Amino acid sequence: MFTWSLTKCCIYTTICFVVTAKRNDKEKTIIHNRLQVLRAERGLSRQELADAVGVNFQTVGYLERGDYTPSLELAFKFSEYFGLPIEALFSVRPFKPLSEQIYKKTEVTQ
Amino acid sequence: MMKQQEMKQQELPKVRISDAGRKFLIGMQYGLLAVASVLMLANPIQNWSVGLLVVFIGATLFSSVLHTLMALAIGNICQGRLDRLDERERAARDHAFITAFQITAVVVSLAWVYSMVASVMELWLPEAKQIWILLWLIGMLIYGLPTSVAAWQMKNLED
Repeated sequence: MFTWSLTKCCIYTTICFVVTAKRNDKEKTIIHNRLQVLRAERGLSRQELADAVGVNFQTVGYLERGDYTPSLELAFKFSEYFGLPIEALFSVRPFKPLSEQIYKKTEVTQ
Repeated sequence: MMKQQEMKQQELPKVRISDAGRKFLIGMQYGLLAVASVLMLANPIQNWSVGLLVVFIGATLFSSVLHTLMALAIGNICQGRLDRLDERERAARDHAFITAFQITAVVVSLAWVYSMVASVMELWLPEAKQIWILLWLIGMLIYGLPTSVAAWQMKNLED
């Protein structure tokens, strides 16, 4: 009886592992950001930006590629460093290209 | 500021291996461990040859060296001091430990289920004296798997 319960427990562990792994892949939310554009605009290296906000330079690379979603604390640090509101740096929807935004604004003004 | 920069310099990976290279080496490491375990388990202790012991010691040494190499390649996030890691590295470390635990649990569970089936259906089972080989394998998994998982999931900046 004990052995059978332990065997069921082992099978359950294996199933749980597979289900959790699949669920984690589905639940990933992508946060889009403009870090790469802003960094290039200001002529900063990844290392310089990383030192300014207190993270590893690889973390900046992960953020730029969209492989990692920053915490609210880190997002505020970037926002403070660039002197821009947080919504100008991060968004749940993909950013439109800056050139397109500027061009459309100019068209409306004219 | 200088001290902070010095600290950051120390955190840079000391070894650089490509993504494909890392995955190949990890596959090789665990493949070799599996082959060594199967060979040791398949032969009764009285039939062990010097060659078999060389394979066993070689697999252990190779695994240890690769573990050190991988730890250096990923910036030592699994064994390093927690206060030196940033939030992304801590998340990667936690994820690596959780995945490693799950993999170990599945391996132990499957071994248990097999031992149950084998004892009922009278299939092959290792001798009681060979149990330390399984303990060695589980020990190697517990010790090395978090670093291997972190190294497997890491992406190089150039890729």
